[in-house]
Amino acid sequence: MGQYILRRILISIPVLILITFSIYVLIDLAPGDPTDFFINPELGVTEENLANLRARFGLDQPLPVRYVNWLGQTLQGDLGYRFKNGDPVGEVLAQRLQNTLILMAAALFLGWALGVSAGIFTGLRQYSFWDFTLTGLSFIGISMPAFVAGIFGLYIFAVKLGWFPAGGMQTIGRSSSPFDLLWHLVLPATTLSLFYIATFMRYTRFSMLEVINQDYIRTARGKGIPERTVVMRHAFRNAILPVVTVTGLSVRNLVAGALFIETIYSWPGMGSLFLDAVLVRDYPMIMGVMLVVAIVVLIANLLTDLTYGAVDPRIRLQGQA
Amino acid sequence: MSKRILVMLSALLILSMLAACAAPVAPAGEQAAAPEAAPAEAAAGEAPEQVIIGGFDVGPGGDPQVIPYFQGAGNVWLSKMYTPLVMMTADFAQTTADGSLSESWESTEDLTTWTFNLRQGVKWHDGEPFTADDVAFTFKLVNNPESVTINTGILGDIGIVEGLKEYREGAAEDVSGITVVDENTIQFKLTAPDPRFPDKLRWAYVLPEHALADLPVAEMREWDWWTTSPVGTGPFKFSAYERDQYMELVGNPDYWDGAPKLDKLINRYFADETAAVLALQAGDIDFTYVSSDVAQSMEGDAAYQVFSGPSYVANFLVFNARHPQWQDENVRKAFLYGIDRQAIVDEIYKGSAEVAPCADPYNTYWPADAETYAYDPDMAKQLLADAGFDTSVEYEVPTYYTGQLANDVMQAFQAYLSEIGVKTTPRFMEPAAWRAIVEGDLNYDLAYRGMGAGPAEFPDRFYVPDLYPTLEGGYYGIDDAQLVDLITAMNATTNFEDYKAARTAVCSYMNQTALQPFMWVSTRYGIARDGLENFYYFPAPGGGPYVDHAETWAVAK
Repeated sequence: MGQYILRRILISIPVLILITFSIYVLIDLAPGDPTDFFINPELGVTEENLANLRARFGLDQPLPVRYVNWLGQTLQGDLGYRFKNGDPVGEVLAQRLQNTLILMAAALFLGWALGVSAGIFTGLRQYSFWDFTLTGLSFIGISMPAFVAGIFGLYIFAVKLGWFPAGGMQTIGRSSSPFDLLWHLVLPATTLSLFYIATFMRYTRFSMLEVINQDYIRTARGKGIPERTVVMRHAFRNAILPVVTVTGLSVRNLVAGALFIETIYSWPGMGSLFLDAVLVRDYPMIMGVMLVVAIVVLIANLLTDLTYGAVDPRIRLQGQA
Repeated sequence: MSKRILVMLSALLILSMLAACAAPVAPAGEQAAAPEAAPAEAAAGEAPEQVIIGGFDVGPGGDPQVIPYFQGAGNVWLSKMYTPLVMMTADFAQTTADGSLSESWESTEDLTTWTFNLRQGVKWHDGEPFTADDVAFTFKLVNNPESVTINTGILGDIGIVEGLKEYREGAAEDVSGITVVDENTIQFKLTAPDPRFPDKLRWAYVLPEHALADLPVAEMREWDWWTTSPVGTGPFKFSAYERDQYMELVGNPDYWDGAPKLDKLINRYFADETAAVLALQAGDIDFTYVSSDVAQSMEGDAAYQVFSGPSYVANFLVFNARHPQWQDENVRKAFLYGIDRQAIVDEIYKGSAEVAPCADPYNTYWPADAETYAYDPDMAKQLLADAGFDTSVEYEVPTYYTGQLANDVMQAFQAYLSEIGVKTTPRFMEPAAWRAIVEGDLNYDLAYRGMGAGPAEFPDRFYVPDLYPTLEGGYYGIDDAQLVDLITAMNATTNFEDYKAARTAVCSYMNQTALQPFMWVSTRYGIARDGLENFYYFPAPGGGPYVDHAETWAVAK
């Protein structure tokens, strides 16, 4: 097991380098360069000024040199400064990651807890009133674009009812407190969780339906095992594998953020940061975000694979036998 | 077992959430500034705290404004904290000493030496006195080749200050043309006469030498100072900054034009206009920039006051004049007759734009007798036929504008032009990609753009080939000796009447020769809630700071 984990981690290193290099090349292939973005086309700028800026950011160097410089700096723990406004990339990432983790973890937790419960509930009651109702609602949850749900939420609960603040992370002008943060978190996290509830419910329900009609479930019931045990220990245990996969895939979102919800609720997270960085070709910021996301995806994949083994003993990981 | 896994997975999620919550929300440096705000917190029974919260950076200009000299546009917010040497009047018509750090300025008769008499008794927010040395320091700092500010686009061509070119190139240690005469007087010596030199200083926020002289110039953009302890000479002083969330200022009781009535002025950042408008409607903020459709939907609502003004950006189609078909005046005129500009202004802009006769966005300089080129598709077709225009070619029209409005406008162009037999396809692209074509490989025929100008600054470099040597034949490839003569004559005028007449003549010539298919100047808007006193906003953030007397702003209810 230890050997397996070590091998996976060692493989991750060249994978990470390959990912970062590919991204570096891809940004470079897009037309224009970052200096073009600092200047509003409506104002215009002199060539001399652009040349100075390019030299300042090292953009006058060939791509491989720039990449190696970036890699060298990064290995020393220095992610550089944003081209766009001079903010330190590491500091911005830390702040945004924290904001995103708060929002995404709350949404994912709500989504997972409610979604899986609803999935088991409906899976056991196929074609019942509750099954139809919740399945119908889950379709709405999956298909409603986040920005529509976000604007609805904001309009009804902030503008009309005034129960929650209209966006932001804290009451401005007052010192921040955990309660204030939670109060600001309710709307965005709930809106975001709608999608996760629906997704987890759909997967769990489908998976439960597959399992619940198997012979061994009938046998278990026939043996007189209490229904609760049949459901949780025999059925859900076997149905959980796809749910683990989806959970593993969702972990990426913990750090990648949710662009639309962040934008609508003025929640400064990773999603809007990444879009902003891409739009202005902010190499240091794009690379910083991608590095964090890539590392988390690699870790999440490893954890998912390990969880498979724990959840289903029939799955043996290579090098573990 | 299944229970254990469930617990394990849930614990993982909860742990990550807790880890996130446990971390401090504000970095230490920013918290350190908090005590300053304390006196403003009114005790029970006292008058309620006067606070205005606005989305001052929503819309064009867009990003949080924190550091002067590094923005292409939109730094009006900074004028609450820092003060420029020269201000624009509230309606943006001309320069003024009102609200600025200069009390007056004058030039020698030959217009090559300008002397600025500075306001006396002005203090920086930290109590240090403001002097002419600060002005000289600021000019040298932002022109230092190491600081790499984006100042040329903003300050216009102040390169005509004697010795500045050598200083910028690193060939000189000092700028020979800048002289500190005494504590309250500074002089600029120019290499050529410039009657409109003060106008070029309207973005020049003065920075404190005593606080910045020891910081490394090459890291100017990265200085912590901007976000932890900046000091200016404006009506409000820095109190707190939460990156991506807000900047909080408190009143400066020692402001030379009178202590502000507000206790706090807060700029809250929004990535999206809808979010800002909803926050305004929910009462979370008092002001935001808005687009025209939102402004029109809220106009007439007693709960809000709408501020509007011209964008001072002219929108127009441009021809790549290097290609022969665009050198025929009839073809160019056909584009003007063939597009119903008034209908687009009425229907798409809902009246919030004004059809422009030339590339000059200031209607002060529009000739009264300009040709209107009223919509006449038959005339357009006739002109094209007379010119032998090849209608089999399909032209792409690249633009960097995005959004529904741009979409509608580009589709209208396509429809109108197809009616007169010109086939076009709109192409939406990012500014960088657009630049790579129009200012790069020049592989275009038509493009759609906007262009800003100042009341004393016409963007001549686009029309005088010598002023844009990096592109073959000048910016658009327009090589028109008569136009160049008119622009040269305009730049040589020494008083406002002559300047106005000459600039109007430039506009008139562009209009008569249908130089480019000029479209319109749109209106921009801001909305404040009712109940603010003396609050003022002028929505042309591309133009620079203007007099708004923020020290008189107050909350009445």
